[in-house]
Amino acid sequence: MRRGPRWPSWLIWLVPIVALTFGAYLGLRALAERGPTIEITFKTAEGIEARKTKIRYRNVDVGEVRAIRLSKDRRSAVVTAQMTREASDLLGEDTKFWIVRPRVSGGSVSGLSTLLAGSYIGMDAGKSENTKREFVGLEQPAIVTSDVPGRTFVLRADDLGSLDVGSPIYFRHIQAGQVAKYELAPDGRAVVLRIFVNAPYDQMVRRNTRFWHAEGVDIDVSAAGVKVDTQSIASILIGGLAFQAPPDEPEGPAVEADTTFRLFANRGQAMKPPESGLLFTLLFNESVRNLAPGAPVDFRGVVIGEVKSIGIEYDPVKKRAFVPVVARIDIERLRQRRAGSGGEPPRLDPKMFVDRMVERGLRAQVRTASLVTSQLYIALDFFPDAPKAKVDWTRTPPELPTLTGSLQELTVTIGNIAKKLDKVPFDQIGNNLNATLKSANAVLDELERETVPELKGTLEEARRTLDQVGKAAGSVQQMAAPDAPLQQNLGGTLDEVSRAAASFRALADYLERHPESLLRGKKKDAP
Amino acid sequence: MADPLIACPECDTLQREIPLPRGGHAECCHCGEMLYRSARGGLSHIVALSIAALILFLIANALPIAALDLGAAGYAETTLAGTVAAVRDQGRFLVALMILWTGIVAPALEIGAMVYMTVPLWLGHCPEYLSVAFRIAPMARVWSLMDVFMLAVAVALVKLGDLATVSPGPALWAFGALIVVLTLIGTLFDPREIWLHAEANKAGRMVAEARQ
Amino acid sequence: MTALTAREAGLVACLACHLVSRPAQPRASMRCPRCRAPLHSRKPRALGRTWAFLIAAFILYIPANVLPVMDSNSLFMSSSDTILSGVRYLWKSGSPVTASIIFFASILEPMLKLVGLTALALSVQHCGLRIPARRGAQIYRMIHVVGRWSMTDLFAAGILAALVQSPTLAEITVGPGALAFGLVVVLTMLASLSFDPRCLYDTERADCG
Repeated sequence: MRRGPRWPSWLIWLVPIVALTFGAYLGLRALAERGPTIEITFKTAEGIEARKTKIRYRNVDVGEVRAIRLSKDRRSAVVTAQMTREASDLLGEDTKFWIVRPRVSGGSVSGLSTLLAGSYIGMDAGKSENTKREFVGLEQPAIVTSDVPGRTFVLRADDLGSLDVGSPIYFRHIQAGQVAKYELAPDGRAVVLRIFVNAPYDQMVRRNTRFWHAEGVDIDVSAAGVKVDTQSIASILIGGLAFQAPPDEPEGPAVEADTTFRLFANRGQAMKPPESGLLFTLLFNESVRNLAPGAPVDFRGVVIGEVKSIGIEYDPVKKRAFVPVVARIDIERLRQRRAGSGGEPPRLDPKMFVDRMVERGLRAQVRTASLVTSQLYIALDFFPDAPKAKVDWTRTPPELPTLTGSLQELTVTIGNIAKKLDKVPFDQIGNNLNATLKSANAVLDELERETVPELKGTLEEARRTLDQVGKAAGSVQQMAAPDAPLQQNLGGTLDEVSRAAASFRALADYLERHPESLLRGKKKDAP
Repeated sequence: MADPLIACPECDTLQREIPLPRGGHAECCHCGEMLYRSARGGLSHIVALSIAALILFLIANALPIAALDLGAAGYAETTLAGTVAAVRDQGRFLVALMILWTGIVAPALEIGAMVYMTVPLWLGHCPEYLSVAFRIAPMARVWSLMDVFMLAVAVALVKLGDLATVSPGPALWAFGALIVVLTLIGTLFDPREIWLHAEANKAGRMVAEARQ
Repeated sequence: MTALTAREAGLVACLACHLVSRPAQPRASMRCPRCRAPLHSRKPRALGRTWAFLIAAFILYIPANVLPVMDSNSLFMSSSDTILSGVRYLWKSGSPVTASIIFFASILEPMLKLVGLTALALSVQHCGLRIPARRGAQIYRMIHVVGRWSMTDLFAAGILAALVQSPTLAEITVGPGALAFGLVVVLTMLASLSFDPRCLYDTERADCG
């Protein structure tokens, strides 16, 4: 028989008292944390579960859905939510709610986290002092929450393109904002986009800032060759906007929020300087195939205008067909004095100025700009030996004398060059390069299997570089394809190749210095 | 009056019940099974512990037993009843029933019966359905698997540990305390005491009525 | 030792309140005069019930171990865990303690319980398979104490299912094996409840003389 220790019999009552205290504490805390109950109306309660879905503000849970029911008119779902105490201050008249579901449209794959834990209700705190308990939920997530610094601007676009709410806005390839909203202009003739540019990028939006569609790959095939421009991989897939001021202009004056800008179709259009100069007609009697509206008019390499339109006309007097090309030419630029020569240029009448220039031999000529794309452009130059001609001011627009270019002969020459180019076995070169890389890879594999782990890092790097070289070889091949633009920037490719070479050299150097490491591994340094 | 007879529940051997010193216990002379224990501290201990158990049971059921924290990705927690509901929603109705019975209903019956029996007796009354409660209590105790459930929470936490941050919920503290209290009740409670008090209370009331 | 049993003395002990009473009419359904619990000298049809529950448990023991107890589906993989593979996974993932607990509670324990109860039942029925009554009673007590812990895995699966349930990325569901397993646990508990340890001593006494 064992005697138990003798405790005072009242001591046992401590147990329920402690339990009760614990329970009361938890209960009171729960009560203290309880905030107001609110009701939010949504079109659909898809993804919302009672007692599970949370309401989150800045990724902090500030409430929980308690019940979901149909509204009285059965047209929407009414969600009853229990908010926490600290959330009660956030509930104003302008507080916004929206359901965050996984979304793959718009700027990015958003709401990825909801895949894991289910949808939640996002919230944006209101600033209003007036409290409210019944809200109407937004159908689209509020991209721009009141607490993100930045400003909104308005864009007018001809069409929406592939933009959507949430489409990114880039400034020098940095994402600087998002499309917040779009709607048709009241007159139906444009799309009005409301965009939000985050601070500090909003300071970069100036009076002279241009906005343009940055969607997809902007391939600009013009007389200057092929220009490929893209903002980001994401923008290739889902579109986006970009903005920047014309690079050669000084910083424009600051603008206020909600200023309206025009949205250009592409960067080229956006950056085009405002049109100036006079319209001239240029009559050619040769083929202007590959001369397109927009083609530059240049004076010894400086673009001073562009082709506006191309027509055809028959001159019954001369019994010849002409091709009238209307071009806008900023003739004034020829008047700019050389810096330092001093004095204001004499204010001559443009007509007289043009006349004097033509007298000195100024003529327009169709020239070919690129051997590959055979784009044409209009060249203005002085041909003192050219037969005398005058500007025909009677015509509208006035006719500037032209000179038949040496295009015919040129075409023959180009043809010959092209034939020779055709014979160069670009494909084979590419294939050979690939094969070499493959065998190098195989050697690396071999090395990797047999060499010690110390070398692995170097090998990995070499392999990576090889892969890149492989890619580069691929692009070389692509360029060598008959219809590919050759004027692509080869610098990148060359860089890759040289990096691969450097990597190889490092490996070779190491092996040269420590040939035994192939067999025994890198020696450990003495401790 | 001679010492009352007692039969060993395991081997049915008839023995005489002898009074025990405080804290002692009697064993069967034939098979060694424990027959009865001297009441330690008496009914008031059991009343106190039963009330504590009831409070802890309510807490354990109201609060989440485990929480899953996925950082920014979200947060999930479950209560005891939530577990039952989740299993039921997955179509495992019988499994849900088993968890409901062993995790919630049986413990509730056990604790409820204890409170129902002991509190009125301690206050000098005799509860009306004493015999029913008396029979329910041991039956419910067999099926009450709260301690097992606690272990299961630990196992679940370990299993999920490498997937996400899982933390035991506040109810687990209540659970632990509840299991301790229930074990204490199990060791301190002597069923015979119920009837001793019941008879004493009845006799007391009869005396009181007779006096009137 | 010539201990007299209650039955031999014509008395019945109440299993609920331990009151020993003399039944008024031996045939009628009796109730304890104190606590009104049904009164039986021995648990009614103890062996028959025990066998019924045991056989059912044996049958369900197979699906309980073959079918998955827990299915986990995630974006990257989906797996079905039987009890054994769950233990193996826990062992490999570096929680040997938990693995051992589950192994003991979910695999060893139901097996021992089934074997133990079968042995006890056979011991009552066949002289050749007799287990000493005291040893038998010890086994029975042990089965009673540890039997409940088998439910661990089932509960754990339930908790996991409640915690991890986002259909797109990761979801844990309670598998069909859980039902079989839970039923095995319940059935063995019922079997051990229907078994009457007093029968062990009865048969021993009958042998002794």
